[in-house]
Formats: sequence, structure tokens, C-alpha cells
Amino acid sequence: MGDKQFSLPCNTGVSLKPQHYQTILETLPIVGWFEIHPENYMGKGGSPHKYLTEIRSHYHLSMHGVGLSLGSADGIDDTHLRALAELVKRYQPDQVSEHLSWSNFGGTFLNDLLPLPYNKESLHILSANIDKVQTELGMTILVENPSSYLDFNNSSYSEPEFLNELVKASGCGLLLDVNNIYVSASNQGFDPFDYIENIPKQAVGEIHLAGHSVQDIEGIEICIDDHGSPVKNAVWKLHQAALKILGKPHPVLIEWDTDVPEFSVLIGEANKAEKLIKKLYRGKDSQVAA
Amino acid sequence: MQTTSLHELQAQFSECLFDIEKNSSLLPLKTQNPDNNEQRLNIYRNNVFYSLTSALADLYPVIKRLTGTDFFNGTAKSYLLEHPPKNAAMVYFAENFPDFLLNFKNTLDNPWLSDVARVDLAWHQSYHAADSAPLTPDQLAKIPADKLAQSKLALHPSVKLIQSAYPIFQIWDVNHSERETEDKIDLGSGEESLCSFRPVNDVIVRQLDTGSFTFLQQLQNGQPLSEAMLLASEENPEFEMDVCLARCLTDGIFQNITGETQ
Repeated sequence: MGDKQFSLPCNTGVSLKPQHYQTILETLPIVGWFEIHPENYMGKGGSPHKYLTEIRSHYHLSMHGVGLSLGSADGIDDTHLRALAELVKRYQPDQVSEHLSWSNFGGTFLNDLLPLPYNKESLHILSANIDKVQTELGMTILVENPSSYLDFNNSSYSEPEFLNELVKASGCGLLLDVNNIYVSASNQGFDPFDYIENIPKQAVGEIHLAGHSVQDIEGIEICIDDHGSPVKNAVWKLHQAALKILGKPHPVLIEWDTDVPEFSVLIGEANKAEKLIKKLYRGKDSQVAA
Repeated sequence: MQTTSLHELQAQFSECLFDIEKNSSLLPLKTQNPDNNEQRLNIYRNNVFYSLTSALADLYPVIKRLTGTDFFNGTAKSYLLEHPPKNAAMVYFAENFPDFLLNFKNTLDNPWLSDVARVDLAWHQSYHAADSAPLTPDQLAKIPADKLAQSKLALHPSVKLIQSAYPIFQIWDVNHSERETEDKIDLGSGEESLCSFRPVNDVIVRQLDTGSFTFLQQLQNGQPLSEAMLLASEENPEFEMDVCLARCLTDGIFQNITGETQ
């Protein structure tokens, strides 16, 4: 693949949810961009396409897939890839991203982002799958670090080491999900700041922020990445550290998928993220002022 | 170091998700705390079933309302174990759920439930169907009178026709709108037919008399107006094509017209 071209604006976007379509079109709020799950727009017609077409005419757009299953040992499902390619052609998103996970095995889609071991074999499989996707779409994609609850004994790389190797091998970019880092670090006991220091920083093309819940599961406190509440303070702190470590502005998304609140709540979160970008970079494009 | 291949690992993980008899010892996990691993695996199990059950409930809201949350969730679990999704786009998820309800041991005694599920599915399919401009009365009026009988009217791509031995329109309509009503619906009140369609933005579900149902069904099968009218009149001697056509035009049920000369 050629040079990385990350064309989302370096300000804050929010998840696009059907319950907000009307409000958005009636008020045309000041927001950097919207992000969708392309899987929700794979029907032939109707309201989803009507609203997305109108909203796309006013805003930048990011497509954040949940169904490609980049980590499938059996390869990428051709039907799904073609459906995604059609959407990309139709809506011309500024950016396309997916997850460092798998969800498809033996033709069954498990509708969850399942964990991968990090070793030479999975690196090879992911690189080949990402290459196929990037070739079909004709663009570099971003790959998001997952939230995970389990650790495999046949991993030979840490997650940051693996991300470095993957970026080198496939030419993909990185979607840094700060909430996922926090969730995985809490569940698996690693240092999230150290993690961010060790990722391939130049490959980061987008940052995700979201809420998580803390649940007592049979006596063990576990963070669950459920995207159903405001961003936690500890995640804001980690995000602030990430911005300093990365050293330049990036597009930031406020992600919200369950118990979706009024649109104004998302905008409130986005404004917080926007203030943080302004405070750290003082409007400059590539220099940390803090 | 174990040498489980990724293919093997994904096969084992899938089995663990769908079979609670299988446990996390099957997987190549770090084992400093094996009890803990079982609970962590349960998070993935819960995520998979919770997300798919929610998707099923979104698709079949009237079935959930009729059966109640607990019964619906139990039925969903049995359905998902037997029919895990084969497409990553949830738009095409669970199209065989009505068939499953017809044969499932806990719903076997209520065969009408499967037909009501078909209405939920039709609503969803109409919602996502391809866009097409409805036929206008002016366009229909342009067909020369002598050509009309042999004309074929194409139904809008969103049109779904359903016929049942049970009063499915009454059941679906009152539960979909979540209207409070004191009226009891008599399951033995006879067959009902309906049509679900989306001329522009909003899905409409209309009850049809047997004549209109047959008429639209014949047009959907590609029969010309004359043939569709004949069969509709046989089905219901009181069928009046002009009345039916006028209403369908107002509703936006047709999309296109092709005469025999085209």
C-alpha cells in the first residue's frame, strides 16, 4: 500500500445513531464528523440510506466495521467484503476501520469481537486478510486494539509489539481505542501508560473514547466495554496522556452504542474532548504546547 | 508452549461459546487462575447471546410483547443454538425464526405465533427494501383503454403479502402500536390477509380482503390485470377491481407499469 492517508479532520466526531437522525438534520450541529457501523447500512434502501445520504452531504464520515472478522483463520468472507466495498463506493467515507479480532468461524457470525493470540501465525493471517481488504477497498484501513477479558498462552508478542509488527507487515493504520486499553489493562493487569508508549505512534489515524461498566462477576471485578455511559474519569486521564505521547492532534470519536441518550449528551462529551485537543495543541497542527 | 493453530483455537472457542458443557480448559489460556478463566469466558458467552437476543427482539418486537421477556429470551437461546447467524449484516438475520416457532416444542401449540412473526419480518423487510418511486394515477391513466386488461402492474419492491388462518392483522396491529385495549381477540375469528409495504419512508401494514389479496398476489406473480381480476373475483365475488386499484394507487403499492407492447 502507498502512503497512509488519514483524511478525517483532527477534531471530535460522534457515533451516528438512528434515534438522532432527525435532530441532526433539523439542527445541523457543530460536530467534526460522524461514524457508522457499515453493517447497519447493508439493506437495499429505506430510511437508513435516506438519512445517511443527507447527513453525508453535510459532514465528514467514518465507517467503523464490526463484521469483517480480520482475524479469521479461514480468511475474509467475500460477500461481506463486497457489501462493504459497495458502501464505500456509494458514500466515499474519509476513513474505514475494523477490529483486531475475529467473529466468523465456519460460516457462522458470532456478533462479538473475539480475542486472538499474538504470534507469528496470527500475524501472517491478519496481514493477509488486511491486505485483501485494503486491495478491495483501494484504501488503507485502520485497525482497532480490542478490549479483552482473556489471555492466550500461545502468544509470543505483547499487544503493542504485535501492533508494531502488524503495521509493518500490512501497511494498515491504527485506531487507538483508549477505553479498550483501560479495560484490558484493568482486566489483565498491565500498565496502560506503558502500552501507549510502545504502540506504533506514527500509524495512529483515529482515537476512540467510550464508556465502560464495572461488574462483579462471581467475586471478580471486571471492566466491561459496553459503550453505554459517559467516558469515565480514569479514561479521560489516560486519553490526555495519550494525546501528549502522540504529540499531535488526531480525530477523536465519542462512541456510544447501547442505552443511547439524547443527542445533546453525546455533544457534551464531544465538547469535552474538543476542549482537551484545543488546550493541548492550541490550534497548532503538529506541536504539543503543554 | 502449546501449538494450537488459529483455526483449531477458533473452532474450540466457537464450541465453548455454544456448548456450556465445554469449558475454558479446552482453550490455550494462561492458567495462573483457571477458575477465573471460566468466568472470563462467560463474558464472551454473555456478549454473544445478549447481543444476538437483542437483535432478535428488535426484529420481532410483537413476538416479544406477546410472549413476555423471559419466554422470549428462552426461545431466542434455543433458536440461536440451532440457527447461529450466517451473515454479518444483521439486516438479513433470523429470516427463518417464523419457521422455527412453528416447530419449536414450546410454541408448537400456538401455530398462530409463527404467522404473527411473519408480519414482524415483513415489516422489517419492507423497511430495508430497495427504493422505488410509486406509480402515480396519471401514469396509470396514460395506458390506452384497450391495452389495460393485458397490462402488468409491478408491485413496489417493499410489498410483502401474508395470508393466515388466524386473525394476524388484529393481533399484530394492536401489539405493534402498543395500544391499550380491553377487547379480546378471538383466535377462532377466521383467516386474515395483509400487506406490508413502504412507498417512501414509513412502513404501512394494511389488512386486505381475500379478493384484494389474490389480486395483488397474482400481479406479484406477473399475471396481467385481466387474469388477476378473474382469480380475485373467483376468490371473492364482491371484489371490485376499480376500488382496489384506486386504493393501491393512493397507498403507493405499485411501482411501474408494462403493457404487452413493451
